[in-house]
Amino acid sequence: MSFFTSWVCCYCEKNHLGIKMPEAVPGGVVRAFEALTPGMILFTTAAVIYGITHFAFNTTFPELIFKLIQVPLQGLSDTILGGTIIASLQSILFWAGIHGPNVVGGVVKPLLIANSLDNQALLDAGQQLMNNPAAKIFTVQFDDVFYKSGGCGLTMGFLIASWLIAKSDQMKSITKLATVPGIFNINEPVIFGLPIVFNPYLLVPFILAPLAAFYVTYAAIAVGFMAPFSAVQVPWTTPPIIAGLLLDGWQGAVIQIINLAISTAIYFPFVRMQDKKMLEEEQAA
Amino acid sequence: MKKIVLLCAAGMSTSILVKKMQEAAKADNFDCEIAAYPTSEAKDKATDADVILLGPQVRFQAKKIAEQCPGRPVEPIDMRLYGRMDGAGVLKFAREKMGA
Repeated sequence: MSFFTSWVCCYCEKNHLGIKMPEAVPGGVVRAFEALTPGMILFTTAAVIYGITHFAFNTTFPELIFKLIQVPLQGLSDTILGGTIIASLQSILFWAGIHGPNVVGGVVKPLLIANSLDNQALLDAGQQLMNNPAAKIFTVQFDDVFYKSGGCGLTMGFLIASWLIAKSDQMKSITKLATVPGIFNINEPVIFGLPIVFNPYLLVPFILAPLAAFYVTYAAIAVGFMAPFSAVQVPWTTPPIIAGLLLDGWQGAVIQIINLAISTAIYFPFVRMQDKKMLEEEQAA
Repeated sequence: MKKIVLLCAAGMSTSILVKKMQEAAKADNFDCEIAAYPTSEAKDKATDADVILLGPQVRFQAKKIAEQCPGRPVEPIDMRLYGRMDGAGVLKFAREKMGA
């Protein structure tokens, strides 16, 4: 609607569609009249849309948009394919130095929140969420907490791997600097400091680790090990394991531990490659 | 007193940098006010800043922030300085941009 509105106004102005005023009329008055023409077009359009949606479909325009666009999109967001795209896109963007979760979240967060609210409605109606085919699996808590421990890219796995095997000064210093923020899922120090941005050594684990965690978590909910999430959220900065515990009891904590282990395993070979390269550079210098 | 504002997605990573910059400013005896906010609060909190520094991951919002805070220099922080949370380095950069 807003696209259409601005387009109409620009069109009218460019093509001088409107009531022409004589030269002597003051600028302010002229402009008020200039606004009349696009205004009338817009009002008429809105009235027509209202008329059609009301009389022909017995609904309203926002509701129609909801039914035609949001519901299918929301349905897509809850699928494995949707989740794969959402998870990997965040990593790919951040690898390019752009705040992936922000950009993707702008589009997707409302859908994921809606998914969690759908679940809450089921709970309110007296149903349970575990093993309930009507319950949504991929919700905002899933996205916030279960595949971004340490930060986008599940970089907690990077940190653990680095603590285990880093030998170069560069790697060790960045890891020390990034560990405390990492516990709170803030990883800009690693992303920009190592850097991970445009770093070919770390592109693969940066995408694979969260993907693996996504599939593990999805499976855990789908088979009924862990309950789908309701409207209860925790802040995304809540440390891993604690967050899982708060959201889904011991099962949530266990799944987070599994995801951390998998992420560490995935990052391990790449951390070793990167560390080796840094060590060679330091020894050559 | 110069006011330096740092912006990033949630104001979290920049708040770590703020602490380091405040330490560097103290060591330099440079009197200034440094604060971090999410980009969504730019139009409320940054309109009187002497320089606005952006986390590199939100540099694509530079134009929008500049429009919300007219007349204020808006600069993305260098990736390396930001990643290493180099308070002294970023403070130096900020002072260059403010002309202080």
